[in-house]
Amino acid sequence: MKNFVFFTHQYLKQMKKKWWKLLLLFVFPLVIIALSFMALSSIFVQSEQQKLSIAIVNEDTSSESQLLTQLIVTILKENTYIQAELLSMEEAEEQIEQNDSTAAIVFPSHFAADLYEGTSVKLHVLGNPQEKTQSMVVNELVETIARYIASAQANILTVYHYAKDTSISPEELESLKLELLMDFTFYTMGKRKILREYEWVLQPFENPLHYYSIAILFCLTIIWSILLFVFLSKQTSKSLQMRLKLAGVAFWQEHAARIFTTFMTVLILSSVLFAIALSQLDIQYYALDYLRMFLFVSLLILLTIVVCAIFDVIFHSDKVKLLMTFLLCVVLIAGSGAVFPTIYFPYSMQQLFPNFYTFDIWKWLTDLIFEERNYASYTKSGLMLALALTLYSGLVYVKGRWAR
Amino acid sequence: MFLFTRMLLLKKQLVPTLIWLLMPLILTVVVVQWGNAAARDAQIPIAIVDEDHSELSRAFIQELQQMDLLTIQLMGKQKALYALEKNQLDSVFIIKRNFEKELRNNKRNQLIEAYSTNRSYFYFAVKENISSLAQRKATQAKAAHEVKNLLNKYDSDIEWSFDEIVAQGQQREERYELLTVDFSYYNENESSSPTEKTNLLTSWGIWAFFTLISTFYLFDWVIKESNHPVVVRWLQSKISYITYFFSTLAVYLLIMLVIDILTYRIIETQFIWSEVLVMLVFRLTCVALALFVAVHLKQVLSYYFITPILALLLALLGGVFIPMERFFAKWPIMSELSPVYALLQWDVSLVWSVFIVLICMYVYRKESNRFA
Amino acid sequence: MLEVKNISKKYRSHEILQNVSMHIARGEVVGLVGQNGAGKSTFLQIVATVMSANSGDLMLDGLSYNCNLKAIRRQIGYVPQEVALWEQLTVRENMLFFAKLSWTKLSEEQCRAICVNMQLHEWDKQVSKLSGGMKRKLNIALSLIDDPQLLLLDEPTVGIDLKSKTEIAHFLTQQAKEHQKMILYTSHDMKEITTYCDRVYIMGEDSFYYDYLQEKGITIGKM
Repeated sequence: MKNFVFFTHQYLKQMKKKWWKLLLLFVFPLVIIALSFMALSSIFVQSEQQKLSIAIVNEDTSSESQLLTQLIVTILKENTYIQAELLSMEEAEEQIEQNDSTAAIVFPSHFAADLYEGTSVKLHVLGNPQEKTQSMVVNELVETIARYIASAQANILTVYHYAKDTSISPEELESLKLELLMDFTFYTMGKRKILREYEWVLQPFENPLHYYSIAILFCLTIIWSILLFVFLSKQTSKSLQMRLKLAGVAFWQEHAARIFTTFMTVLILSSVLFAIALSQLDIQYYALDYLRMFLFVSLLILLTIVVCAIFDVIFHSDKVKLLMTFLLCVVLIAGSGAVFPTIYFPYSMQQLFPNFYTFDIWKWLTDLIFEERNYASYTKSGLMLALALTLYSGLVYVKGRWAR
Repeated sequence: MFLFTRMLLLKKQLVPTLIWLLMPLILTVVVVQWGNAAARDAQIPIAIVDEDHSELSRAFIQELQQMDLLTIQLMGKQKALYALEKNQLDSVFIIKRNFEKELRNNKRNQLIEAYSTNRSYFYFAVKENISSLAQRKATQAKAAHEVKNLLNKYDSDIEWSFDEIVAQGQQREERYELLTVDFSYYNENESSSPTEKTNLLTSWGIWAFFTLISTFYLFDWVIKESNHPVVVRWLQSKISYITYFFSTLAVYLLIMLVIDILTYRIIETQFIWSEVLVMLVFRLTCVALALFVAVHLKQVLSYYFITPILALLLALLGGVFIPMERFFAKWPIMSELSPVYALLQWDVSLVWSVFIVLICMYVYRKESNRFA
Repeated sequence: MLEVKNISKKYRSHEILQNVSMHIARGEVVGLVGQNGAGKSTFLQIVATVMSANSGDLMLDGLSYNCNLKAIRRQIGYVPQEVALWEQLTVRENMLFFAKLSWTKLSEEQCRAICVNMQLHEWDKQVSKLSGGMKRKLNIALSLIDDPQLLLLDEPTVGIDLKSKTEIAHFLTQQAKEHQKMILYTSHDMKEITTYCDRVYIMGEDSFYYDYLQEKGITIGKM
């Protein structure tokens, strides 16, 4: 016990000495998360603000295709984030060059005629190489529209096939063609009417800002635990190890002190941040709720550190140890479902997730925080902690024997 | 002479060195394969409630089940909505009673009820898929309706049936590719298939990430040897430590470049010299970065700790994990922050090329000042 | 002949060496004594070209340190105080490693002969498994590969057993006398110093060493 206190003191001193590195350690994950967040939001927000500008080039001079392209422009304009414009080929190329347009859709000559005949027609999408992702979006969009037109056209041809066998006059048949094409295309595009949509609001995600703040805090807790634990590791020379051994210090005592120091530091930091975050929510919590959340956060930190400690014992090479620990961090966060719901993962993986303590703890935390649940079960996480501790002490024991 | 001594040192850790050298290639292949498999298996869980129990509704569900993206569970309304509430499903679709009857009568409005939540990330895609399938059914029904009208109008006595017309429409759609779309970038000659290219981009991104880590970890000798007391012995040797240092660097670089070209051959189908050049510049940048960090650190452990974090940051800024194009459109300078971005654009970054040269000069000065 | 004239060395504001002068003639074994921290190691490092002095002149066989550094380094064998060896390699590999890098081409037999002369018989053992004394011996042996004219040894005999110590000292004096080499070494073992050194320099103002050496009748060099 004396040794344990001594080493804890040593680790605290070490942390004090390297305080600016420590600060970097805590700030760095924040930077990464902020950066990802900025990049992600720039994708979504900007695509709404900045409309996708599409040039439509019609190389077919027939009146039918004029109508059809007009129709497509109208349909595209229904999308609020798309701006479509009829242009000549030269104009469109100029616009792309000047980065004014995301892409151009080119209707080839004889487009309408070929379509009527039922021969295969190719639409051409000219993407802007300066905006690759956006060009892809346009391409997807055009492919969807093409599928609709093709589907409509297939059925029109069927109708046409029957119409030919009736006593219809050639002029009437001609006008019927166009009429049908317009009619069917419109009909197809109006597919939204098929669905009657209801959108529900699920409690935890009612306010995405609140949800993601808590989720980020949760992830940060995991990342900090791992980083700090690794940060506190140090190389002890053989002679120093010998000296420690003579002083009656076992390997585990130093390790335990490291676990304890990391645990306390991250726990204090996370608790404070959680308390601040929770005070921002418009929910009144009881003391018992706070206690429950506190217990779960403690379990989360302790389990993470013990798993790291197990890695520390198992892997011999420093390089491998560190890489595996960083990998562990990714797996723990992905498995928790805090960032991305686990229901979208492959089925085989989904079955693994309930075995993750991060998954279990996150589930309870969201229940407690957002659904104001009055009950919590620590059995699963507690059992896992017991398991991890048993495994850890077993490994330390084996290692101690082996070293002798 | 030099090689002999270097081999003496390397011999003891030949296997780990080789593993670290090959790690980016192996992990890229594994991750891409595994990632593709996972993406293929990754499914969107939805529930379908069949209230109609008609032939058409069953056929409709069957067609839905053939879609790759969806995992469809058939269940009762109560159960499905409960699961949705518990966030176990992305969305729920209810095929209303009279689905078949309405369709046959050319009515298509609100045939299906769709339930989603504010956490249904893929509802939009699923909705598109399901409504377009339903729309196809409706269009086929409309065709039958039009035929019926036509035949009535011109008093024709041609035999027809609803199912026949529907079947014909479907056949035409499947048999002929009536309207296709091809894609190319403006001013780029090879009409590249866009989806293929995006896939490749990610695999190079992953390669870049692992290459950063492996280069960093392979260059730990810089710290280990430069801070070793044995360095003093180079005073009395024929070649100076700085020559020895840079020769070692050259040998590592050579081996790395061979492996890089091998990697390029394995991952890409074509062999384009300019792209290989870009790769080599990227590798040089990695080495320069590793040197830069290594000469400033005394402890290997902190080097091992800092470098993966640095690699992660650079990969993130380079757009390996999240596309950064929009972000860079706003702040163009940011795109120069990571050498990974230039690699993914198959571009040589001027800033980083200058960086390589500067670092080489810097390290040369630092190391040669040792015994001045 | 090594001549050192008025060299000074400052470390930030701390003055370590102040106007130190000395000389060593060919065939001489010279000892350097002084308290811990008196600047013995710094002085040796300056002579060995590991460090440069802030002021003063150094000459080896008429060549100035200022312009003939490469030629001078070739003449010097320096044995650092810490064990400068590849721990992961064997004795043989260590010898071959530096033999390959040296000016003179030595065969494996010649390398082995150096070790045997030093009473180091474990040829194929990994250095990390050697005893402390053995490491010291190898540490000296490595510096002898190039057959240096001036040998600088920084506490070379720490941790070596008495028998080997005698043998090494004997080997060094023999080198000096028969091959006309210059040897400068530091030690805290006064018995060793008094037995083998022709002259002794004392670093720092220290009457303790002075009295002791004078009593033994050793020539004391003036620094």
